[in-house]
Amino acid sequence: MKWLKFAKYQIAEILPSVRNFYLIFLAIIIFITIISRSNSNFSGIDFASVVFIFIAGLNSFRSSFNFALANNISRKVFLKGMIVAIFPITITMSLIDLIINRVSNIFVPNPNNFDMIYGAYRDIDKRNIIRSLDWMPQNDVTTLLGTILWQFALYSTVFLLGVLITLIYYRISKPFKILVSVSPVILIVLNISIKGMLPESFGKGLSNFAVAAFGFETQNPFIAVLSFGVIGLVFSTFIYLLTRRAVIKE
Amino acid sequence: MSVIEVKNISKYYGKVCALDNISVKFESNKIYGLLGRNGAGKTTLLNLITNRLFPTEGEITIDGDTVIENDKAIEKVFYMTEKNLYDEGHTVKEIFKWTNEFYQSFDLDYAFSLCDKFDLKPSKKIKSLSTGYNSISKLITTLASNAEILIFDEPILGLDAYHRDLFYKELLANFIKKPKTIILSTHIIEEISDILEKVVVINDRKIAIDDSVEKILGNAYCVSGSSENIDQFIKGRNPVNIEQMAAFKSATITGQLNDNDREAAKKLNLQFSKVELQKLFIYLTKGGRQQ
Amino acid sequence: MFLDFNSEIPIYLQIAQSVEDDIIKGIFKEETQIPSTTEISVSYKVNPATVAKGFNILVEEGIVYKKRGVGMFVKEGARNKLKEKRKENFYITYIERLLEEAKKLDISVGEIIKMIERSS
Repeated sequence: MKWLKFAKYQIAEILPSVRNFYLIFLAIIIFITIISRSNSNFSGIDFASVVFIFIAGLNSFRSSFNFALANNISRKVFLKGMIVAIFPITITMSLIDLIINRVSNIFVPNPNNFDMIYGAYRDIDKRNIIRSLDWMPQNDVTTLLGTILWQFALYSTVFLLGVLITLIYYRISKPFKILVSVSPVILIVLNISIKGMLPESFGKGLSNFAVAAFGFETQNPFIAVLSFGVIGLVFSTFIYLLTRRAVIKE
Repeated sequence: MSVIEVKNISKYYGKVCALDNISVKFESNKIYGLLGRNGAGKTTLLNLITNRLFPTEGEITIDGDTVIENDKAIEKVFYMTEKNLYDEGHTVKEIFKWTNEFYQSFDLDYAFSLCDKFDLKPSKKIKSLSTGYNSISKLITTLASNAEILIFDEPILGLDAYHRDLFYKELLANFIKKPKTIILSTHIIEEISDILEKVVVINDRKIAIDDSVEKILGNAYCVSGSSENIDQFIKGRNPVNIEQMAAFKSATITGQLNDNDREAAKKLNLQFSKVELQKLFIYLTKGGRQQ
Repeated sequence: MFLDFNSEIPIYLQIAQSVEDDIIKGIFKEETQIPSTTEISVSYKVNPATVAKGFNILVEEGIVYKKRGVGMFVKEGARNKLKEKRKENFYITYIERLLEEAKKLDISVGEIIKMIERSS
């Protein structure tokens, strides 16, 4: 079971930065909790985890790939190990994030992203009531389980996205690299002009689709988990195709 | 068993040809020297053998199994590269620990005893090591892997005379204790020529020589004497190099030295001397282009 | 043991010859062990196949024999055998060369004999 060993390596590689991230994250949470006790509240601070995981994804391909080659591990074993290693990390982070959030809520009400999208918090927003006074975290099983699953799915997908982006950069030649780098700008410009050309219904349909796929309207996180699963699978397929013939680089 | 067979391999980088239809066999339990000038294609060949690059054409097998994405074949090899592939934040000890995970026959005790001999602290981080000690840490990992096939690419980079000597001795001791296929790729030949059993020379993208050291050296000789006598002697023979100092000349000639040659040389008052592998290599690869 | 890596004589022959030398000198006595392949290979940094080839010559000549699992031993009577062999070669290796060199330097045979008498 070489891939399992490689997954073990991959986890051991990421763990120190996860630990450092939470040390900093906790320090910040405590700091904010202390200063915001009296007046306002804060929300969605768990977004920091998403950013961290994205960066971790961006950083993990190259050195792991080199290490795999140094030990004459085939690309397919490397890939299997690397992707499998993501899940224990993201599920653990999802749990830790939920625990941190619920504990800090004892002192200052602070909804996480899940609460804001799928919880009662959004309705409070609609009713225009002062949030901090009115909102209490829901701790029923469905909410907690939903949070853990949804965060897990989101984190895993974001990690895969990070890996995919690095891989694209790793594989393409220099001219393409520049093209990919400026493509967001091109896309924005094109988007504006395309928007004008396409019928309004197209854009609307697209956003409706997204709203449905992520269960924003129905407030169903499990639809979102499913969608993340599909996206993650698509990312993994591209990662596989890009790794299949990847070679060592100077 | 640990035989590497390279069959009709060509490698192009875009339109640039790095290896041109080469075939060579590395037999089991022998020490090979893979020689060639810088840019001759040595590292490309080694990267192809270890599935780090893909060939444009041809096939490479280890004990009959293709090396392409085949763990069964490539896990028999430990390949020490000139380029550092480890995360520089790791300590030498951590590298040992992980290599131990991936190589069944890795010997941790042996690795630490080698660290002692080479005076390398295993607790040091890779990034804090000098070029020489970086090479040493990689050498130790490779030796301790105890894989069936050990490949060293420029193993003595940055090593001082003492450490080079130690490396050659440890390599031989390791080889004698448990015979394996060893490939030493280098352009520094003089020191290793007696360690090698066989030599593969790559020149100008092709295999120029693939033979035992004994045969190669037995198939060339150096003769010296007065300029005119040497000129007379080399007529009809095959000199690869001639050096002249005033009226003194010496010629390196390929071909078997027989009694007739000895007789002829004696009449002309010429002296024979040994041809060094290094020199022979220089003469034979003189025409090779550098990329 | 002494090996000259600059000599035109192949290393495996040198290994055989220098073991013979040491037997004649009495360094390696009869029925005692000569250095192992490993010892020679590692200390002189020579491929073990080369060492083995040198040893084979000695085995074929009946100078040494192999004790399974122990190593190579000098055969009884090896020293005398070697001496006989060397004596046979003495004329070719030493006298002929001596005369050759003497001819270059215009030294007469009479003078050579005088020199030998002086030094012995």
